[in-house]
Amino acid sequence: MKIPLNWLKDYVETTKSPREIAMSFTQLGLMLDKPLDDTGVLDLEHRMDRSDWLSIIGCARDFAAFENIKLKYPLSSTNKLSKVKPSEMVEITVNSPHVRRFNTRLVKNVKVAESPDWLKHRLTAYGIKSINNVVDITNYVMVELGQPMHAQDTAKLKKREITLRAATKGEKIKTILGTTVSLDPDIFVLSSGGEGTVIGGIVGGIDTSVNKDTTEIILDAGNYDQSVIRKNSRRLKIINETVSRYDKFLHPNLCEIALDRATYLLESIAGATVYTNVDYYPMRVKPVNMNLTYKRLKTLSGMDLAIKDIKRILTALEYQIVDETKDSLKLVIPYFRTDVEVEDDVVADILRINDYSNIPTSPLTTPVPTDITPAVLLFEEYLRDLLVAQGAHEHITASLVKESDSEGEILLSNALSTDQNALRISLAPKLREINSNYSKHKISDPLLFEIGKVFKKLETNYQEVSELTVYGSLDRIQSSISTLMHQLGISYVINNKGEIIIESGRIGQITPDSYTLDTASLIKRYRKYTGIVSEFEHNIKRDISLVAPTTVSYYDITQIIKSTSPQFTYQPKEVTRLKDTINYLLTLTWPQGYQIVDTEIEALLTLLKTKLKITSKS
Amino acid sequence: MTEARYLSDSTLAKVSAKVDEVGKDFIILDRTIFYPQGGGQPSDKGIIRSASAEFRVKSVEYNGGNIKHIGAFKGIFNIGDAVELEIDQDLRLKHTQWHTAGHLVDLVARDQYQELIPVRGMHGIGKKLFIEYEGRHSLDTGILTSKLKELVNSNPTIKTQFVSLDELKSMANWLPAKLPSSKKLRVLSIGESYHIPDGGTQLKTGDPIWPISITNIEYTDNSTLIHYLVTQPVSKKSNASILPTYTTSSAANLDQQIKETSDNVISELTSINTQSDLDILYIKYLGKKGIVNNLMKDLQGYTLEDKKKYGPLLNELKKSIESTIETKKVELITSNSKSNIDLTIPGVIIPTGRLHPTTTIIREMNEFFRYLGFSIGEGPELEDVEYNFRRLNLPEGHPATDLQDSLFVDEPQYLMRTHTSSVETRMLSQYHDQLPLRVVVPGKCYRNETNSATNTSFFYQYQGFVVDKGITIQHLKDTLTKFHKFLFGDDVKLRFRYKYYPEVSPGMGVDMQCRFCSGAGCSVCKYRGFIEVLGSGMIHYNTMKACGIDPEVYTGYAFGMGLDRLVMSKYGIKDIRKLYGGELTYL
Repeated sequence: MKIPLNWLKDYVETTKSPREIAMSFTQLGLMLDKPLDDTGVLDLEHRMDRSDWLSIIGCARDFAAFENIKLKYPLSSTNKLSKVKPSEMVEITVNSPHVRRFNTRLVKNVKVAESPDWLKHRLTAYGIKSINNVVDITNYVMVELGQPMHAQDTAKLKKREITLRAATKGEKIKTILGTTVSLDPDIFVLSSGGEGTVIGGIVGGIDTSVNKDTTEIILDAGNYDQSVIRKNSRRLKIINETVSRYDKFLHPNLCEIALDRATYLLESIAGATVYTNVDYYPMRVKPVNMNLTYKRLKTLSGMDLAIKDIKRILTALEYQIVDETKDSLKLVIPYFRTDVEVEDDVVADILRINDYSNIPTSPLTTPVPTDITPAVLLFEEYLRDLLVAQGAHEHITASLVKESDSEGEILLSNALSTDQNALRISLAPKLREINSNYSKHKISDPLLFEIGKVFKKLETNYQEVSELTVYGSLDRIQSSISTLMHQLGISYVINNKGEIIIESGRIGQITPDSYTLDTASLIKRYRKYTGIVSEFEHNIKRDISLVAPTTVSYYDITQIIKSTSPQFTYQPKEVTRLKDTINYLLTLTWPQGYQIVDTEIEALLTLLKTKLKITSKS
Repeated sequence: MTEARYLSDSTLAKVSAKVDEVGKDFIILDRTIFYPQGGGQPSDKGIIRSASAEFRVKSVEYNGGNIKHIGAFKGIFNIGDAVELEIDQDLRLKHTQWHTAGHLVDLVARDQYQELIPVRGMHGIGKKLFIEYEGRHSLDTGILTSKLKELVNSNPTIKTQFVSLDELKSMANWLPAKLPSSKKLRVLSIGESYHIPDGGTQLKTGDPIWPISITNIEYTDNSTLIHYLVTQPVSKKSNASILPTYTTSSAANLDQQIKETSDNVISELTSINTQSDLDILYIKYLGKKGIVNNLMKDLQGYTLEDKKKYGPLLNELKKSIESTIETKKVELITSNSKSNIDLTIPGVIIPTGRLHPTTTIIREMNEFFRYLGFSIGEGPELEDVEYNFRRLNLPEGHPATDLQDSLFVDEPQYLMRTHTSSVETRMLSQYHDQLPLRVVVPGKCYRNETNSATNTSFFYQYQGFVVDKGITIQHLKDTLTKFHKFLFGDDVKLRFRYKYYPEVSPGMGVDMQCRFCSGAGCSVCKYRGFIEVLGSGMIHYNTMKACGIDPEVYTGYAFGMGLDRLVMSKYGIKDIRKLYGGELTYL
């Protein structure tokens, strides 16, 4: 929200410097958004809750409350206006569910001319171009009070009536900016004699706009469903001062107040005579009552504020105190405060006007709750440390990827780009991309890893699991997984399909350039205190040398050993791949005191020979 | 051609020489005191040092005039380098004792049995000690033993001399065949009649001879072997002529010996200028067979009382010498500009992995909050609008729930979470009956944006929340103040102001005074003087209710901040695509 300081000072008297004024606004919730300059205009960040902060008067009201100074309201028409003659009445028909109120006035004998300088300057300072006195007055009142209004030349209406209805498919309106917009039934329009004249709550059409020849206008202040305005304006890509107010929750009461202010200005500046026309307002909105208990204020803030200060703040913010007890106040919420939902919001008002800087600090003193950190999170940190110690680099990559047609892949329904229209099903592809970047920078044979979520669509639900993927050359990933599992104390095998198997089943997969482990399954087998022996058992081992055909995998060999000699543990010491054979030097160990080693090795070698055609040199 | 100095003086323990040839694992010098294996005697071991390098001699070979020292290098030797040689004197002494003993056995045996013709002697090679004679002969070990004892007790003359073949013929009563006549022969002479050509190291007249015994007689098909054994005396392991030892082992002297040793170390240290000299000193005093250890071994023969008294004193002596030598070592390194060590040379970096910058920052933050008793939480990234919006007081149609800002998997129910607050509602719902809670949640969040230098389709948030009885906005202010002091230092200045967020009421924005301009306004803070760091507030009444918590009983605070900007500023990364894309490499 832009606030020309001269304009602000119409409503509040302050001698503060622009910087000080900006600091006060920042404290009370309107943070200085753009740097201060010498234009005399503050640009304040507006959050979507407070529709009244899209008016100078709304900002001035909070500023006055914060500074504890008086707020001066602008002049409005106080004369009781005459009703328009039935013959001159502009009929209003509302055939749209999105209209809460549509209040209109007929303005006769208007003298369209240039605006007086003060008016032009105000609008220019705010950033709105001056058009003529009538258009300028509607814009002025919109900025001052926050209610958008629209003026149409009655002479240009097809009929002396306005109907608010859904646009027809393909219906076109040429806007005041000269662009032609094509509409559809989701958008509602103001129309006359069947012809659309204004895109409801968004922008006016050029055909019925006010110009120097205009003598009579129909002025409207509407109140519409803000979510419809928001949706339609985003779709039409029209964002303007009108839209930025109509897409917030404005109170229907504001229509009347804004029309009164506009009436005063039209009479005094454009010499017009103003009559009431139809006010469509089928469901009157009732004032909202709320109780404020001092105890709640204390519960949230820990502070004891003086009751007189509380009342002073609430009154300044135009809460009506209708009743009070020693513990509480019964309040009527001001109509323009459509944001106030709960008692805590009233507490927030008191605290912010009292200034957040005045809230003391106090340390947490309640007992520390039970630690509920999931073990897997800490385990994943440990995995990171183990991998870093192996020389692997951690990466974090995007979870959104290009659709790959994989089974179970989850697609996004509203992705902006086809490069990122699916959820990753594996971490490996991105790591592969990153690996190529290392090569580009001449960093050879890196080991990369990521721990992150992957996503899969199952029959009835979505599955999201945390995985570790380590990427690199075959040599590096093989030694990486062996080292990792050794440190975790997990015994595993890799079967001929590359599946990484532990006792309870499959926990991952190895491919020629990566391996992946499911961290939640891994932690179940992880033994925390492992690998450290305080008393050595025997250190006798036996190396056996095997010559295997290339068709036989290491896994095949281990299966034979496991079936014949479950007592043996084994570790390949050397693996040499030749043209037709693979030579293994396998170190066998066995538990202390295990006696029948020689015969068992004999039997094992025989079995390897008969079953797998493996010969032994030892 | 290497000059074999051990031939003329087998007591030399040190000598200087020059490098003639350097091989992969050997070195050849112009002269040596190292005995090459031969004549039944094993080779010497020891060390060869140059000014900058060291060579550990493991074995020595005689090779066509050259003596080849085989072993391991530490540093580089160049031809012509001046070197210092030092043999392992204890080993040499043992070999010498074995060798001479063998000849004493031979003397006695052939004196007693004239028919014996020697074939060879083994004086320690492969730990074997024997003399082999042609044919099978019946020998009496008892006689041999007593004759041997007689001989040793007679204190025979033992010497080596160089003589011509003719002279030798006139002296000896038996000679091996094929002796060269062109040069003088080195001959070992024991007593009057035993003269035998010999290239080994031998004892001299008067040297103590270690006890020798004949162990057994062995027969092969055509030879007889006399096996003998040399026993190293326990109390005297070192020969006085080679290594200095204290000959008296009475406890009465020990006080003085300790003092002398200590004084000697100090006085010897003053003249030491090189690391290698210092090493020699170290071995001399603290080596396995050094003076201090010898004193300690001697202690074994003392009374218990003496052991108790001198044991600790010797330990103290050892420690004090160690520390004196260590001090000297550092002194040498730092003071000697011509030191062999160049500390200014950078080492080779051991390759290690790196954590992702975001992980590092998350860990730092977690560590802070863990200390304050917070747990770490997590939740799904593919989220239900119920947790992502509804329970956060964001009803359908609320501007913050705009469809185009969120990435939907299945409209309108499932989306990629837009903030970590979804984990807050999940955990509040899950633990609504197990309060209190203190939790922080680091996590990935998503938005429907195309990638740019400042935005990616995902970002990291750090969420924190506390629910308990009696939690007020004062606790929130306190936690956030401490947190920022932890992140940015004690001089950090924060500004707390009202700010609206739908999921909290009252809401609170937190800004940090710009550290570049101290609040005056600069390009970093976009001339605001402050930089917005996070959003926070008291958990909304409606959120509490939606999660099944009675907001009249419990209150809570929550805060959330973007992590990426913080990570980027700490690591100096300018483009967020580099942080999470393939452009990030670790050097």
